[in-house]
Amino acid sequence: SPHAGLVSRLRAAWLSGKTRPLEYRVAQLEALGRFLDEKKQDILEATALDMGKPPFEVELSEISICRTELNHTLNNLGTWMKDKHVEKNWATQLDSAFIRKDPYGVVLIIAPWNYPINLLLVPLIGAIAAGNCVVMKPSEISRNVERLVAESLPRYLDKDCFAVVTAGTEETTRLLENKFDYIFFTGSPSVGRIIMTAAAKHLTPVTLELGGKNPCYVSDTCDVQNVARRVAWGRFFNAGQTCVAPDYVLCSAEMQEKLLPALREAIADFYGPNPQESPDFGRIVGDKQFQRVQALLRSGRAAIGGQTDAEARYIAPTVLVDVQQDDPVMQEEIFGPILPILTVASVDDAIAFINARERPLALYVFSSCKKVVNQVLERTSSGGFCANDTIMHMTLTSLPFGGIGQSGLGRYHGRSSFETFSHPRSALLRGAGREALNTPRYPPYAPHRLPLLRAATETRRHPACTLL
Amino acid sequence: MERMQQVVGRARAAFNSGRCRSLEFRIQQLKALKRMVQEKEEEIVAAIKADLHKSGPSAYGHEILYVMQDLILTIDKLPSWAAPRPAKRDLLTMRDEAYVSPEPLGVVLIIGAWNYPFLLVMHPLIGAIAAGNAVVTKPSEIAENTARVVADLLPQYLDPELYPVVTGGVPETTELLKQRFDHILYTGNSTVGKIVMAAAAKHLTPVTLELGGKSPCYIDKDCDLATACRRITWGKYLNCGQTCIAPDYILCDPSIQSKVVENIKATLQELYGEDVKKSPDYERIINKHHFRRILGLLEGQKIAHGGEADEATCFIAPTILTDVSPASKVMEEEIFGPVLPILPVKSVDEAIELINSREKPLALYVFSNNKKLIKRVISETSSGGVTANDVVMHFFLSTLPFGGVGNSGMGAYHGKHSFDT
Repeated sequence: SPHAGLVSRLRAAWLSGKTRPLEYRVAQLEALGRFLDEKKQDILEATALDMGKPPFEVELSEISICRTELNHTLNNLGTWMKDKHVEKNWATQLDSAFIRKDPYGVVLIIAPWNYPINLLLVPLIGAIAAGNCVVMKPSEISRNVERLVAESLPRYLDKDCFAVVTAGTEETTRLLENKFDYIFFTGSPSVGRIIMTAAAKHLTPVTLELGGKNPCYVSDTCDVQNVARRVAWGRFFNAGQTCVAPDYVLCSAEMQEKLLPALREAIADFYGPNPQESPDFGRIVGDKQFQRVQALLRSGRAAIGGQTDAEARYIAPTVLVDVQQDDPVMQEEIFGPILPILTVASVDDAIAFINARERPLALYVFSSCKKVVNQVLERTSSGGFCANDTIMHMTLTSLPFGGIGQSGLGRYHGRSSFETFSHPRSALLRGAGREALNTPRYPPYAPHRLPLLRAATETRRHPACTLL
Repeated sequence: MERMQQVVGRARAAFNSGRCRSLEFRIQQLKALKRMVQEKEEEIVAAIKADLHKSGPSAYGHEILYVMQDLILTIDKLPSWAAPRPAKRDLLTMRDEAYVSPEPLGVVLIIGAWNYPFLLVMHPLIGAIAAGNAVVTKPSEIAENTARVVADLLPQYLDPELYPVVTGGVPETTELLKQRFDHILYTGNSTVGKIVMAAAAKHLTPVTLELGGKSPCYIDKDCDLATACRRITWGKYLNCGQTCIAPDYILCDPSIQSKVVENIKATLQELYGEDVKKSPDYERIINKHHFRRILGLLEGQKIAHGGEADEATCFIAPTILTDVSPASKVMEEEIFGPVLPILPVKSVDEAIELINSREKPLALYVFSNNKKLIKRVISETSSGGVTANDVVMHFFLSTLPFGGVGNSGMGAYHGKHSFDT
């Protein structure tokens, strides 16, 4: 395997123990911070070239998020690294019992193209914070960012412990033949399966941040203008290429009538009369993806937008109506600036519709009625949930972020990133003395010793509290 | 084998009905399990005895005791474990509600092992039920009697649609693994662990793999040798060595090797009497296949004690090997039997290097009066868990998550960690 040498080099560095001390990890993280500062202009240019990303979006969704994660981690790493002491039973009362956060070793991070800096650096922050060596594989589809990362990032980090590998599909398959101690992958469910299958050969634990169709239920009791703005923002940010974007709307026919003009207004407010001329609306990343998304337009009819420009890889902010369940746009995650609206008669129908499909990464409900929100929350399953807005649940470092079922496995952000890349190792430190306390456990077994053993190790039931 | 599809399909439909979500329902099922263990204790103990030649107190102490403890703990704590946890908000979200809410995964598959056949099925089952899932249980067919008892009893006490038991061997398990689950917890060896994970990958099913490995036991020159050897002897020969966290092999300075052997011999006498074959507390190897496998490991080794075997009863005496080389057969695989190799090492550095040159073990043991040395061994190695100055004991503290790392597994459970899993 072409990367075997690299992986063994990093493993040797790992075994040397140099990534363990807090000081080392802090130094590497601070260097990462300097990369973000010094290379900001390059990042803005590369993302503009790759996807026509508006600088405002890059600042918010790529650079600022990384900054937040970095600072949050630097502020708390010392605490996170501490051994967690646990409650003991009678037999272990005088012992030391705790959970250590051990690094795994050499971890692999595979990043996608849609937020190529964020989705590489945020996991990287967790991996470094947890004391691992890291091999990074940025997406070859966002070519300019890939080049920037491959050329510049290694200059900031310790080359013994951190490496960037550029690779297409074939080379990535070869890369996966190596044994890693953890693999963090962000991408599609179908590739997720391939990654996990490869990981299984080495019993490598994985986190898979995948995707799906994020439903957005809009009830009849809501502020339509606000809903339209929040949904439009979430849908059309990054030209729809966001894993937590609202994928489709479910609402009543009456609500649809109100929603359409409100959406039209929101889109005009955001992007002007001709979004293709707006500097604030992005483009599809590549021709292949453009063709895929464009084909989805053959569903229902475009009530808003629908225009495309293949050369510019531009697809207008589009809202589709009269969409059927078996239309192309409902068969896969859209990952583009198209918002289909499907009508349902009631919240129960919406819930049934959602539950008949794979569990999504995010689920949205718009309603000023708390009961409706709670009903949907309790009767559905999704990676994350946000009521009365889109995407925002992802911006809180204190909320672990990840999917379930087809939308993923594992979660990260904030402390969860550190936990993801740490192996929780249980430790019980006993003393040589007090051997008499151990006597009941040794053969020859005598039934009369059992009550003593039980008393020493059993948890007693707390008396039931009947206040409620 | 449509049967598997039907069983899993029924469990899924039962889960989707929503009836196992309420805390009341889950607690009711757990209480039923508790009644089952209390009322059918004799039957369960008899099955374990038949499978592993375990004495009554041993079967009770090693398996039933911990199942009961876990049930009591879980029933008591479930409401607090299931409560949503508030999350810190920022300026933008100050007026919002932000929290993490634990939810059931759906249909969980539990594949048990044969060495603690009741415990290793019940322990995960308790957590899975507590978390509100439907659970398909597949006890190990190698511990035949216990598998039969589990298959008979569970449907008598639990909702049979939500918590079916599936029995069978490799073909049935393979068919079962083709079905889609929302989590799989497997206890067993690494080879099959890989097969389970690969099958899970097809459905993107998260897994907890409780595997094994060779758990090293380092004895420092500076330690209370008599006590150390006593504890090691207990943990090694428990269940005739068929314990995933048994100390697999010893690393110590050549100068104390013979003393270690003497101490272990003395303890063996104390624990099992003059004639270990006659002790009701000494178990047998589970079957002929493993019997032959373990005997094969003795080839070419210096037997300092033991070595006697009787195929008819699958008896292998507690055995100690000395001056073992790291390259020998007995050092290639997890022994899972009453054979204890001692490898002389000249320093703790050598011990650490040897440990790190091998796959990450499920447990690691170090005996020393020197706290600094203990800390060093722990921080320079990697293992699922650690006990210092004793063996096995970290397993029994339910607040400590129990699981492996690398080849010894992924994920962890016990106590609240089962619920979280």
